[in-house]
Amino acid sequence: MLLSIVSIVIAGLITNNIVLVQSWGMCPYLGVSKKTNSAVGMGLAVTFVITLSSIICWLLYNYMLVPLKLEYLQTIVFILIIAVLVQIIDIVLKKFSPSLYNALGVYLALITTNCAVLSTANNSINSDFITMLVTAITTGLGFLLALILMAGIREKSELSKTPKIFQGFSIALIIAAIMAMAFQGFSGFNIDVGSYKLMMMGGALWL
Amino acid sequence: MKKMNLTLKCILVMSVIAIVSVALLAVANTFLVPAKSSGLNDKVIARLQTFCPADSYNDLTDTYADEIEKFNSENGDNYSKINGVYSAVGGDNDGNNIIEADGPGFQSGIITMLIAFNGETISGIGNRTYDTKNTYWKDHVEPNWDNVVNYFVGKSDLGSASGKDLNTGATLSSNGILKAVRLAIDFNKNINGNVQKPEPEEVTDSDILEKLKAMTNSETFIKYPYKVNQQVNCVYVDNTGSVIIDALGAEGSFGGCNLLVMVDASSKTVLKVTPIRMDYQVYGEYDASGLDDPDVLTNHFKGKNISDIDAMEKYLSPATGATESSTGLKNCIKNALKNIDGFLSSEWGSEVQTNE
Amino acid sequence: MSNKMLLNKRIIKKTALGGILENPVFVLVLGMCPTIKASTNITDAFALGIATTFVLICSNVIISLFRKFIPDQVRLPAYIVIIATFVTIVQLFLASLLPDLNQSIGPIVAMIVVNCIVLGRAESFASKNSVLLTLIDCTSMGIGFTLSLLLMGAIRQGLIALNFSIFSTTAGGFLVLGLLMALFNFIMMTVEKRKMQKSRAGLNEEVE
Repeated sequence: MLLSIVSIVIAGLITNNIVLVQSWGMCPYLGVSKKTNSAVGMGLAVTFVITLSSIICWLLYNYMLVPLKLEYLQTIVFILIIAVLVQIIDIVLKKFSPSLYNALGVYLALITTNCAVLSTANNSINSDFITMLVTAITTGLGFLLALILMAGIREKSELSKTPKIFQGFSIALIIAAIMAMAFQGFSGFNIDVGSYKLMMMGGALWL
Repeated sequence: MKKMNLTLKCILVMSVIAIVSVALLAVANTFLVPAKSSGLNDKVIARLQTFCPADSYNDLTDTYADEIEKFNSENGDNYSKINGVYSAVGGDNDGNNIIEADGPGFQSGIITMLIAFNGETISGIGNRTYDTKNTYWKDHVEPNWDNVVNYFVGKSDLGSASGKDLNTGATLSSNGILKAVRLAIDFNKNINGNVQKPEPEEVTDSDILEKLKAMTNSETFIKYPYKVNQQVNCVYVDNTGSVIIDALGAEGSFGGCNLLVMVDASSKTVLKVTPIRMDYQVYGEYDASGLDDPDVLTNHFKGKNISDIDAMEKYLSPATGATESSTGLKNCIKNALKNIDGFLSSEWGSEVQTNE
Repeated sequence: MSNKMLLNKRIIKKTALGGILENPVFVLVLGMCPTIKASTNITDAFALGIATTFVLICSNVIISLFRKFIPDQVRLPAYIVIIATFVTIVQLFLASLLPDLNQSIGPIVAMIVVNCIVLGRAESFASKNSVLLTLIDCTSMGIGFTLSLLLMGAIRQGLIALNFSIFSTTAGGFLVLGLLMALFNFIMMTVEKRKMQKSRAGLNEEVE
């Protein structure tokens, strides 16, 4: 049991990272990763939403939708749960932590449309409770990790000169590509020699 | 006033949207039934290779389409039926049939099994799919898969086996597997050309004979292939005209059973009951094992007709709280009582009546 | 009277070209997730594009139709339920009639409900405009999205066939998208420059 938990954690954080390997959650990822502070806040908020929504969706699916043979309502029910959850967090944060509320700004509401949350909820119903719980928490933390790394790099790249056509999202995506290669590489993925050469050339050109 | 109007309006609009959406989806859901993966694909072939290795496989499902449909309408239901027939080509298993059959799984799921036959004997077994909601399969059946394989390989008849015999700890899934394998065995006999029009014949099966003898003290019995889908397997009659119905009963997941019910034809009441098979599960305090006893059952049902049975208590002692098992038993007995007239008015029934 | 007609025509033209000028993928940077995930080959890309367009048009037309009846407070949950309904219909359709396709893009289709394009257009356009304009806008956006997906799909499929296996992974997807964005920016900038040069030449002519 412990071994499977460890493997889930490693997968969630690195080898199957929700953003860099599974590519869920790109929109908010590209949007919030400019500064490290907001990145941390966002990552923690998303972790919280993923965990809570996975639990609630798992319970609702297994104890309500399945017995009543209403599995086809899964999409509607899950997304409504997430929307309600985010709304609740919105109200709670506004009251108890206005600084974080302001730092997140519009991206707090956008957690609802974060593919990572719905994707994890959809996959949660395939596991038992403990596996689902561990997967949800590590998925969120994986998101947080990817955010922090990206924010760190982007903060530095703001200072260097980037060609105009690459500014904004273009360079962010290229940075993400390099990080994704690293994360995926941990799972023993074989990148062929040709691709390596391409990457090296591109990297050299940019520098 | 205006504020209340707004809140009401919000609730009204959301309700309308919700109702329309759910209704639309319910309609779509009934029409768009998810396609089940069927036929030979790479996954299935790989699976077949593990328990019935061959050079290649032929898909004979279309060739036997008529037989499959007939067999399923007589013996199957939504959760248990024959899906397909494949045959192994080349290698040690050349010419062997592999039957794909469904059985009921956990939480209204379906277990699809592949059973390989050498003639009429099972030579190998594998599963095609199981319902992904089924953690019981992953946790109990898969680790004990060797038990399952050892149980089935070499058998050509399952007799009175029930799920517990598979020793997996997942009785429900095991019952589902058994149901699928039973269907496969019967269907395999069909296509191996062994089933002609059934004729009444003398009972030779020692297990059944023993049970029948204990019920009537006669020595010989004739088995009449009178069959009512999911209610009656066959009818036994001894040389004094006593009628013993081989009946089936079901209720939920734990109430499946197969009983021999001796019926008094004129009063349509029960005379004696002997169990052949009961699919109960000992689960916590829901222990129905005490009902697996001819004396206990006969005591409960002797002299009762259908309305008497309906008036019986929810669970039959010594079981406490095993409602499904009790209901299944009651359903089985009722099925016997319901069909005594049908049997007596059938082509064979008239033979019996003239005997008396 | 003719002024109004001219204005309408201009608006329609602008809306119809929205798919390119305000391309959801390269300009508005919305709908990133399916763009990366479903662009490994042309079939997936096309299927997802069509599915998204279907949901986009159906849901936004309905929202536009009833925009005056939906109170502001329940705007978002109402839109979400409507969108989710159509997404579920597409899911049921796929699972029933195209099971092989469902294997490859099933989970991605499920995400159309949180695709920023659909909700975004509903919020910013469908809730404020007539049904006809919404129809044009959604069709245009949908086509634009599908074409962008097809472009990426073609590029990635081609590169994978040339044995650059990295492009079948997420990293490759990021890379292609990033480079395409840079290319798009380049084209836009060049067009802007030419436009400015033309107007400056026109101004000079007037001065002279």
